Amino acid sequence: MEPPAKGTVTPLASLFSEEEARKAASYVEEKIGEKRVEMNRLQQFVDENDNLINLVKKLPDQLHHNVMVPFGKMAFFPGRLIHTNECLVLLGENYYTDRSSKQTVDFLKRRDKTLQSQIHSLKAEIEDFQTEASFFATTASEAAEGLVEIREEYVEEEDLSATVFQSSEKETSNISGGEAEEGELEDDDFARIMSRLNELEMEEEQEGEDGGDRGEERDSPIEILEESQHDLVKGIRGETDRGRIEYGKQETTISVPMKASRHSSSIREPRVAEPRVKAKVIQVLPEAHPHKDIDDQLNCIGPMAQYLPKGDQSHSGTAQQNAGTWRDFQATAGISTAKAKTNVLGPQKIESPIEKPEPEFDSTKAFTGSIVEHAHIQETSTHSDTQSSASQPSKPVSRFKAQRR
Amino acid sequence: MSSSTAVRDLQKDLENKANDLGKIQKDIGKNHQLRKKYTIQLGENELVLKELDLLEEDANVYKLIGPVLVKQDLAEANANVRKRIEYISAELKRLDAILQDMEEKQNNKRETIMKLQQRLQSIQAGKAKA
Repeated sequence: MEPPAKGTVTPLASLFSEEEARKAASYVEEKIGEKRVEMNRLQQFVDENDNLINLVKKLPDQLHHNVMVPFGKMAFFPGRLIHTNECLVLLGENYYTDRSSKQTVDFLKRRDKTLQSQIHSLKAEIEDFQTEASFFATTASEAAEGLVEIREEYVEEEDLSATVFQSSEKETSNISGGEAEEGELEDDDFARIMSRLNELEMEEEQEGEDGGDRGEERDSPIEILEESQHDLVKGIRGETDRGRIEYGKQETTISVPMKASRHSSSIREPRVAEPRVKAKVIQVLPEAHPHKDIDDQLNCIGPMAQYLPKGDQSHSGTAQQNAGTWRDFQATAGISTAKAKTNVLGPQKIESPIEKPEPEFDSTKAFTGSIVEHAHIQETSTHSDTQSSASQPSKPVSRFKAQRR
Repeated sequence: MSSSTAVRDLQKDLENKANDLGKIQKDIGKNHQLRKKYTIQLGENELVLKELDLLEEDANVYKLIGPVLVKQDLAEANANVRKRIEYISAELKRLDAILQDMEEKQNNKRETIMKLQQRLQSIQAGKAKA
């Protein structure tokens, strides 16, 4: 029996007062407004430039144009524009030069390009500020709701991996112990959610096997999974709103970004960030391996392993490779999200890398050993708990699961 | 009685320090504005330089001096702009150094003010108890 949760519970409101967060949000909004004004100005320049380009293009079409020449503020008199192919161009800094129309157009186009790049960077800045603002806003509202942040030092649990059933028992007891403030009624929900997640992963993996080792092919399955995870998270969130539990000795994590990140960064970021975090993956992977030698675990991951025979036995080599790349990808995704402000989705994604490869690593043993089918939903829940405990050493971020503790 | 005079001294000290801090912050703000101006100028000059480089040898270049356009040699204009860019970058560097210095000062001031406040509070708390 493990001692019940050892950690600190801090109400979010004590870390950031609601008022402060609101102030910060409004400050950022102000900044956004400023940037918008700036961008409008630039956009105006661009429009003017376009008009000018059109005009200068048309000028040399004729030898002369009849125009009304402004004379003073009020008067105009008819005049004639000659030398239609000569422009005096201001280069800036009071330097002028004589140019032909064509050269002028070229010059104006170059200027347009610089303007566009400026607008582009400004847009990026605005986007940045917007995410910041929404982050502050959610912080404020969540502080107002009275969320608490619960932190626990992560303790390496070696014995857990040795005997899974025991550990799963421990886990469950742990859960009931630590979760006193959460209430027990969520267990069923969690079990349901986990089984749903597993289903999704199975589907996805099968799809992945069809897709061969082309990593890019996986984009859509990931999205599907992620989206469904979002839904699930929403579900959990609804029930956990009374107090969400944070986990990890990892850097300060605030439960706040959840809402904001779920929409903005969660879908895009993992893929974008994939290449740059490769190094980290390597750190993650070796740690994940120790668990593959746990035979007992098979009993628990039965539901996961049993679908494999259906899948692709002959291709177990490629399948493993698949799992490897897949896990790479997932791990990177998880880490990158964790690196960003997005804290809540990270763990979710990370959990899958470990869950998925395991059945495949064990798959050879699985066919010789005893496969126990645990169709029962409660079984799945223990399975997931075990997995969470088993997978913890390999990744520091399983906050999603930690929410259960 | 002595404690009350000490408190008064401390408060005066604190006020002075706060004023100093405000001054430094103002300076930093000014510095930022100046920097912004120079950065914009630098960008403009670089654009001009790029355009001048694209001009052909015999192109007419003028400089607007007051109300008149004065014809200038292309090479001369080019050299002038280059020199300006050099000057502006040097100025930016100088401003950076000043800014860093001022920020350091600001932090120091802030720390001393914090300490003063703490002392003041502890003295007041002691008085309240007594």
